[in-house]
Parts: sequence; C-alpha cells; structure tokens
Amino acid sequence: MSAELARVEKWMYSTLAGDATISSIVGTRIYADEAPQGTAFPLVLFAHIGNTDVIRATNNGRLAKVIYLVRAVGMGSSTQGSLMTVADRFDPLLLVKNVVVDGVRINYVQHDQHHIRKDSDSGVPMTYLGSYYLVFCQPA
Amino acid sequence: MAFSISITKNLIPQVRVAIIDKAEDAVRDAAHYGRDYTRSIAPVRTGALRESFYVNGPNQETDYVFAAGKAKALNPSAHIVPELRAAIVDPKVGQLRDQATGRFTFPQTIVSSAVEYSLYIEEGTVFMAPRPILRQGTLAAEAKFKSDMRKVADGY
Repeated sequence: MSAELARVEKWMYSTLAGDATISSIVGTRIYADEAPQGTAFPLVLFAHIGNTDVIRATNNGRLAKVIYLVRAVGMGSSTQGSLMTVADRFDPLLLVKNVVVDGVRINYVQHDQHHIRKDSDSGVPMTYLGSYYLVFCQPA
Repeated sequence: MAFSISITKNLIPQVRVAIIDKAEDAVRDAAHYGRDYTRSIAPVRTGALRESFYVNGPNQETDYVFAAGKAKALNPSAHIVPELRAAIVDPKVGQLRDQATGRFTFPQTIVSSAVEYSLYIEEGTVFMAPRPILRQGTLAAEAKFKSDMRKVADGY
C-alpha cells in the first residue's frame, strides 16, 4: 500500500469529527489544509507538514514519521474559552498506540511541539492554537 | 633483577575536545545542509524567500546580513524580521549559553528566514494551505546530523 498518508488523514478527520466536545463547538467545520472562504469560526484545521520514511528490515520494510499540524482557529485575539477547550481535546484524541486504519498501522503518535499564533485577516485578529504531532505509521 | 616500567598517559581531555570540535562541525554542516535543502525547494516568485534563509551559529557565525540584504533587494516590500541568535560563549565562564534562556548548552545553530511572510508559507493561514519548506529542510538536516554524529562516535 502506498497511499498511507491518505489513510492517516482519514483517521485524523474521523477522530476529530467524532469527538462530542469538538463538534459541539465547531460543528462540522473541520478541514484539511485550509478552510473555504466565508466559513464561520471557530474551526479546526489539520495539515501534513512533512515526513521521512525509514527503511527497516522488519515492520513490513518501511516506517514513516509524519508531521501534522493540528490547530483550532478562532476570531479575536484570545486563546481562552472555546478555542482552548477544542485545543485541549487534541492530545487525548490523537496520542494513540497501535491503531489500524484501512490497512495502515499507526504505531504511535507523539506530541512534538506546541503551536500558538496570532495574526490578522483584513484587520480582524485571528488566533491559532494547537500542536505539531509526529505520527509513526507503516503498512499493517 | 627484573623490573618493569609502566607509563600511563591520560588522553581523555584531548579526546573530549576532539569530540566537541567534531560535534560542532556536524552541527554546522547539518545546518548549512538544511538551509540549502530549504532553498532548493522554496517556491519562487521574486526569489526573495529563497534567498532569505540564513544560518546563525555555531558561536557567532552568521550570514543573516547577506541573506536579509539579498531578500530585500529582490523584494523591496518584504518585511525583514530580526535575526535569531544561537548560543554564544559567555567570556566570564568560557562556556556556551543559550541566547533565549541563558542556560549553558552545547553548540547550536539556528536556520531561519529573514522575511516575515515565510511564516505564512510555512504554516499557512486559515484560508491558505501550508507549503512547508523549513521543516522539510530540518528533516533533511536531522538525517545528515545523525549520520555525521555516528561517524564521530565511531572515531572518524
């Protein structure tokens, strides 16, 4: 199987969308890479940032270390309230071990680095809150 | 009458210095490799982003002024951001100290961009997908650093 990252993204989306706390705040506004223009806030974005594949003698020959950036995005400059509630759910949901998704085994996920950013869109403050994650996966 | 002479020479300090020197070389080489890799995959419109990547460290080595100047020349409207600095030697104690935390540390390098908009390309915005290049460069540098340090550990 070569399209492992597509399966990892599928797992990530369904995991985030299936959480009652997140969906009570963002509804179905969970997007890969970028949100459509005109969408409401807050929302959740996740994006593939990079990866390295390691050839191994075992583990079906290949182990991928994949970096994802997962973050809640809201209008305003505050990281408190609903934005923090959503971002607090990322670790409990994503730090898993030995999950098999459609032929791909996610061996484990590590929290790599916190992420916080504040900038503005046409003068309106925008806040990003989340983390970088390392997903270690291989063909199941 | 039998006798013997035993001569013992303690070379541990020299070995330690040699390892630190080689480790510093590995840090420097990995940083430059990562910077060059980042440049090679950078998206190009004016060329300012590609030329904006610099290496600071180890110690006080830097090519920030050159990178920032070239980026500004290629895109005069680009906002130039201040240089990030790696650890430098504290002359009072002769040891490296982290510039951000003040902690004593080992040789460091920082690879970064002198233009502000590199952040938006690297991480994206809410309506624009990330096009990460610096992290890809970091992954390449990490692989080179591990390979080089393996040689240091093996005594090359």
